[in-house]
Amino acid sequence: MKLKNNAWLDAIALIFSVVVIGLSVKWLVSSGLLEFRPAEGTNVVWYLVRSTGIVAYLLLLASMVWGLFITSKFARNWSPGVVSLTMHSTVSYLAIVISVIHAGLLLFDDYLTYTLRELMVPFTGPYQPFWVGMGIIAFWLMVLVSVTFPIRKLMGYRRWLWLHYASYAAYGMVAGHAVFAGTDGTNTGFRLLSVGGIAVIIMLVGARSEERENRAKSVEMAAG
Amino acid sequence: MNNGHRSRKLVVRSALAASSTIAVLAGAQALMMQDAPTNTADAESLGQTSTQDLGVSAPSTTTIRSSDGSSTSRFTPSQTFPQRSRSSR
Repeated sequence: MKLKNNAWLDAIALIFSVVVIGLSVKWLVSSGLLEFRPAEGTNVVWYLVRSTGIVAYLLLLASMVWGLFITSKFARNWSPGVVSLTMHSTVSYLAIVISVIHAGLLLFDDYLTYTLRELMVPFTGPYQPFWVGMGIIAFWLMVLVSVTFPIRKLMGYRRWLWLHYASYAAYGMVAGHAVFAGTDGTNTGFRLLSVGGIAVIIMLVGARSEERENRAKSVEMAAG
Repeated sequence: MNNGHRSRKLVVRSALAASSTIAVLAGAQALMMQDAPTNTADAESLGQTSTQDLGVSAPSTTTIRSSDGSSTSRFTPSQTFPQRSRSSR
């Protein structure tokens, strides 16, 4: 049964959201996180820098995969619905917010002393300037792509789409930043996740390209 | 935009914001717990190795004095310490 206005995707996104809220509350209550006290002398800021970095990376990956999914041939008959598009944009905004926290926490870290300028201008920091610089450029690209969400009609769809393609470059830079400048970049699980994420993105981009080629051929054939 | 759309959007946004916040906190906690046993084990094995190899009793606490003698720091083999080195970043 095909429902109008992308109701299936909306329903999936809504059920997913309710399940996430429920599981979050259950986990919070049962995990003991609220009672957790770090060992004396633990540099909590440093661990938060690492976890925000990982979460921001996963959010960017999720945003790209979901964005590609809702516009690919897997969802051919569904134009992006209100909820599924909200999910895509919200995940992108959250990736930016958590990236800001990731960078901002470095101002309070006592090991590497970053200045605000070094966090905002690429290639000027004291640690791994190239790969950290890649992360900073990726962040500004993400901001550029995300702030144009609400004004895409004003910009013109084609112009907005070209700008939106910058998110692929941002993802590549973030992956490089995470693997080569991140403490957890050497973690096998994190590397497998990165490779898996890139594989899924390539697969979805390939599916979308094939769909566009087929559509172009159909148009040519119809034209004569 | 009707109220149904608005409330559905709100549910999605709340779920994503809540799960991201929890992921950050749980991630930090997991990283702390991941580092803590390793460091304790390393410190304990350091004490045991020195006892076995040198045939002497490892002190329960070692006092390290700075070169100018102005300050001292104490290290107990079983204590947990944060693992932080430039190469590990």
